[in-house]
Amino acid sequence: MNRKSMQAHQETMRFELTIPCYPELVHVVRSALAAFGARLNLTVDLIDDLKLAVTEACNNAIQHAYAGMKQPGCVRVLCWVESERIVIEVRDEGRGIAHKEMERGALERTEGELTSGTVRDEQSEDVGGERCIGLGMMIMRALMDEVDIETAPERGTTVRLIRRLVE
Amino acid sequence: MANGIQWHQHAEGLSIVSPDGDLDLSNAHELRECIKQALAATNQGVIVDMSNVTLMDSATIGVLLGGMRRAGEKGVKFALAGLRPTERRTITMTRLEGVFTIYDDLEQAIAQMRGEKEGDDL
Repeated sequence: MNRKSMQAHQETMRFELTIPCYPELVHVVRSALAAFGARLNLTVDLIDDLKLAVTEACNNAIQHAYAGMKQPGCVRVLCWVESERIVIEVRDEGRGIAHKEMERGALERTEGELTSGTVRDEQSEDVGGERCIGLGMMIMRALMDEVDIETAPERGTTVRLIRRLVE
Repeated sequence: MANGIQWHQHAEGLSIVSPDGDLDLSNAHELRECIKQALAATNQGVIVDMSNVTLMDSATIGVLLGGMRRAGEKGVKFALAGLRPTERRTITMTRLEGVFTIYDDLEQAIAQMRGEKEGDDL
């Protein structure tokens, strides 16, 4: 298959997966993404990057979208190829995330904060707090070419992860 | 998926935590409790052997930071060993390479931490 026909083939492929917002189900998303990446002939390293980035996006939804609600909602993951880029969207219909909170840790964190206790793990809330949003954002931005976030109060959040397939 | 997170006490008095598989939000609590137990059982140090870890997310990094902080409060050492290149890169991209003590493998970590203890005892 030449490059042009390979590109056309890739662009007909997409997958969509909806899971209840439970941390123990995120591995299902990773498995689906890995299988999808293998069908696209992506490298193992690239698939590893996508798996970690989508995990962080799902973490955001799980930790924040439905906080305080009796029943956790769902997170919907869509993935497709367009213009030689892989696009992954992680959507929830929760309460929305304060964008400034998401960016703060990623942009302002210093080693001093991390070691002094300003950023620290503490009991159960540590993995659901602002600190890990900051780290998660750092990871997504480092792994992907583009990370776009659309969020609005009570209308949910979409995290869009984009990575070029051709350097 | 993670197959399990265990810890044991090494003959040198160090506690070694050995997670296996993917480390993420789903098992962050289990990892935290395991590190706490390992820390309670040693007066020398805790090594987290990451050689069988296949994915490490930000929740895991938060737990490891917490383990490092608790070890510091107790006055014992805390180190990571055997990180795969992918997980080591995750540490780098979160600007934590200079924060954690990292050894190439478990043997090096034990030798180094034992050596430091012997040096402290002199």
